[in-house]
Amino acid sequence: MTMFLLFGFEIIGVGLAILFLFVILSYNSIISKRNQISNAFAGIDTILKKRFDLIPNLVETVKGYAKHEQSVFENVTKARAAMLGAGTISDKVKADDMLSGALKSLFAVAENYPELKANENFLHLQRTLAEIEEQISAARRFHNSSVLEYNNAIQTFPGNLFATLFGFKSEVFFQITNSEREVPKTF
Amino acid sequence: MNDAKFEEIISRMQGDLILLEDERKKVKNKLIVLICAILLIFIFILLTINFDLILFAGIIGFGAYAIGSGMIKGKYVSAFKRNVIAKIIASYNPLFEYLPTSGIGAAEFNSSKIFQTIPNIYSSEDMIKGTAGKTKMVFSEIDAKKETGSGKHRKVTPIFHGLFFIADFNKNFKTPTFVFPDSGSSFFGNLISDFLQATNIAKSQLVKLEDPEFEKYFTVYCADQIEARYILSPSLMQRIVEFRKKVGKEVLISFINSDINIAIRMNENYFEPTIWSPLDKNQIKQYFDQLELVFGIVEDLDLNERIWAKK
Repeated sequence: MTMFLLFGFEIIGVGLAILFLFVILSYNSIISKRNQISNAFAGIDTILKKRFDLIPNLVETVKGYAKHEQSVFENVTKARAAMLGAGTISDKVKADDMLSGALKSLFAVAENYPELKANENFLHLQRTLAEIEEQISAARRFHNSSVLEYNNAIQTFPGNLFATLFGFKSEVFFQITNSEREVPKTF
Repeated sequence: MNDAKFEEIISRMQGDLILLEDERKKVKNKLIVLICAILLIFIFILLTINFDLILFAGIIGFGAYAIGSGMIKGKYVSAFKRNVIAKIIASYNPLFEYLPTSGIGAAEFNSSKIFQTIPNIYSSEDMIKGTAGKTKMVFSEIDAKKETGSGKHRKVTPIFHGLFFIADFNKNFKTPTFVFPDSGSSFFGNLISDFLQATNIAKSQLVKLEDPEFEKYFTVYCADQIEARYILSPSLMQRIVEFRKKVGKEVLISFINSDINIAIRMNENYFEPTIWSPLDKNQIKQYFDQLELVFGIVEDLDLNERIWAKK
């Protein structure tokens, strides 16, 4: 009888140990997926910063040829300032959309100034900006794929149990806005 | 290339084709004589000397054929490459250089890092190089093998045989990215293949991309998740899938040292004339198609699109 009891306790003990290990592994896996989102978000930030730094140079170059387009320059400056103040993902999305729109108007203005369009510095800035836009898009894709992986992990069984237990919340995708779908035309 | 252009080039080659066909017939007859002579000697050895020598005589016979046929075909093959392959290449782009006996070097092949094994038996031929639009490119046929052991323990493992293409990639990047065939899916199902690929640490991190068709054909590895996506934009992924379908063979790609390297595994020997069938329009069309495949890569993958900082 005692032997059976001991054997029963052993089985329960091993079962609990396996369960405990499973909980730890699942918890760690969810945490690493959540950290990957932060990492991806930091990646977006780094590239947005590159674009942010490029703007004053771009505005100055355009100003040299198109002094009278004040409203366009003001819009770009406003959007840049909004970008600087954005902290959350949704704020960043909004500010980024605003900035993309303002940059598009800036390039539309450039179309009316043939000398500007032929300026070597302007052409270089255009190309660099196109590269940065593509990098931003890549960083967003990574962010979204990390969010998808994390959300799948906490919304499917047994991850959903841990999500309830440890209070994991679904993350938001970086939506691609309409203005972003149209890649800035560079030539 | 359209049919009208093909017809035009064929008509320009007509004189050369007639001469080459005469030469081919002569080569064919010589080869028949060679085969008959080898067979006669083989039978003579077996009947008069010793029947136990069958294996030895067979090896000698094959060796004699390989050497003899090489000598007989040599002049014809080089005339064919000069008058047919070189002219087809010139019709695509007269500035392209065709070097039938040269090829991409082992150092360049190894630096693509597509293959983990470094070959010690390496040969390459039929190099074509030049600039298509804004893209510098070079390709050649490559045969790479690894020999291990010696004597009875000698083992030769094939690494790669096929076409190898190197071109200047149109975007700047720092981290190498590898696009390999998705070998796992067809055998084990997605779950197990994901596990196998994720554990393949030798090839850096597994990059899961959002294009399901691309993911069905390929597996991507890169140490930088963002840069891999920067290189593999949605449109390039689509283009690579279309290219893979067009080729119908295993395609391995690496983006490294600012180049794109593409290895297309093929069993057959490209740009080599066939002695046993007439050198007619159909055969020439095959060479056209082979060359169109490689010349089309720049266009297929849109490598001339240079809207980014790299000119």
